[in-house]
Amino acid sequence: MKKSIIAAAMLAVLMLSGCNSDGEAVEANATVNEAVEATASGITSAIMAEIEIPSAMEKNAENIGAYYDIDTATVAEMSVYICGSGAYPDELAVFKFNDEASAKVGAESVKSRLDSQTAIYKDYTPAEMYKLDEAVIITEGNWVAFAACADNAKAKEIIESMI
Amino acid sequence: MSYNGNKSTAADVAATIVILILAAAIIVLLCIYILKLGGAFEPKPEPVVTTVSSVETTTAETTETIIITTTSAATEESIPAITLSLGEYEEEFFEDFFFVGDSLSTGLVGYEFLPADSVFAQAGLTPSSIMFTEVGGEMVYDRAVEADPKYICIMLGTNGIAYLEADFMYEKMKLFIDELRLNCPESEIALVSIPPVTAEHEIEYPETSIEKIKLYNSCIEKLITEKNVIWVETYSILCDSTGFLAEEYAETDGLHLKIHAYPVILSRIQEAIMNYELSEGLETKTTSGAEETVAEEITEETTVTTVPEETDSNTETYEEY
Repeated sequence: MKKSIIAAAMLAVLMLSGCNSDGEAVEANATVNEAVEATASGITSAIMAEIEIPSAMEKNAENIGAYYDIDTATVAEMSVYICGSGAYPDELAVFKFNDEASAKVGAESVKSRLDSQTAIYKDYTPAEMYKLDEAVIITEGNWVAFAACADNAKAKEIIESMI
Repeated sequence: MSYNGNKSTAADVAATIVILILAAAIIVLLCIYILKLGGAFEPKPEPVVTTVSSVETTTAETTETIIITTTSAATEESIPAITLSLGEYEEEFFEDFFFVGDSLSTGLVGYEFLPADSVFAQAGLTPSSIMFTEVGGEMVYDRAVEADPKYICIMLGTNGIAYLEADFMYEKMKLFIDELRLNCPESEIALVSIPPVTAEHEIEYPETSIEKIKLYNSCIEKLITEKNVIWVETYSILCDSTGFLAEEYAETDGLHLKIHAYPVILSRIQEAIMNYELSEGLETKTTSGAEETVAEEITEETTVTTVPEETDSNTETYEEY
């Protein structure tokens, strides 16, 4: 029943966009697609629009190995930001794996990263530890998302609304 | 009386003749000297100040003299001939380098100036803890051996400033350098001074004061002679006019560095290493090359147009070496 409603809604959207070639119809269609098809970079962008990651540097498949022990061949898409200066433990990492099994393995790697950061920063900058103590790791289907930032609750809310 | 008077006159004549002969001899010698030097009585240029630009403005004769003094003076004094603009560095230059440090050095990888496998760094490391701390499950010596670099650059000490004595860290640094040399005997070691902090940081954390940072830097600078390391002074170039870490380089915590600081540090490291290589060249290869240049200049009486070419070719030789 639920699937039928979603299908009907999508059909209605398609019909609307097909019937109208003006800007409004295209925009409405894009909005629906964004809601349905979240991207890793879309999620990190949404978080960073609300929460600052100091000296944010984006990492890619080539250099992610310095931070996460993840087999990039199992990753469909990813978006990772760290604090480039090393001053703060702020970090965002969103991975979409090829399958759930890979996501489960990836989630373990993300947990290891959090443990490692906690071990380093607990003596180094105790004042910043709340970012790691309240860090969030969310696993949903093929998705694994990690946030350690100044407002982890807000980051969690954004992630959960998008995946 | 008249006898005495005659004798006196004869003596006077003899004395006059001697004086005339001496004067003539002096005149002849002066003429010879003038002819030999071509009348170049103007003061000789200081041996040290010879550069390509000064050569271009001199006459043919004096140019010859300058080149001779240039080559010998450069050999004796090893003056740094290479100056890079701040921030001007070559990525390829650091391909055979291995960096060791704390969170400041994590920025080299974090900001993507260097690949992760050429940096061993972690927040909180000190000259003491570096010797027994694993990063990514490996000790620094294992990583250094694996990298087998031509140069190992160490920038450590900022974390210890707050709670360790400068002398203690200096002693630990010596031990660390010894251990690195045991593991990597073919690698040259460069020691990089630690950067200043902002005025705000010093107020908030007086235990990490500029005074203590300077004291530590002056301590480890002694290792140039004690441990034969290459010294890279980066402190002063990161300061503003008040002597604190310049705002454009400072992370918001006043201790760490923004992305703009790293090209500045890397350019200073490259400059120091190039000058080190230059000085090594002067001690070995370039000395004989300089002597050959002098011989050619004297025998061939070269003109102005040939002079810059000779000088340029020497410069290239230094840089290539």
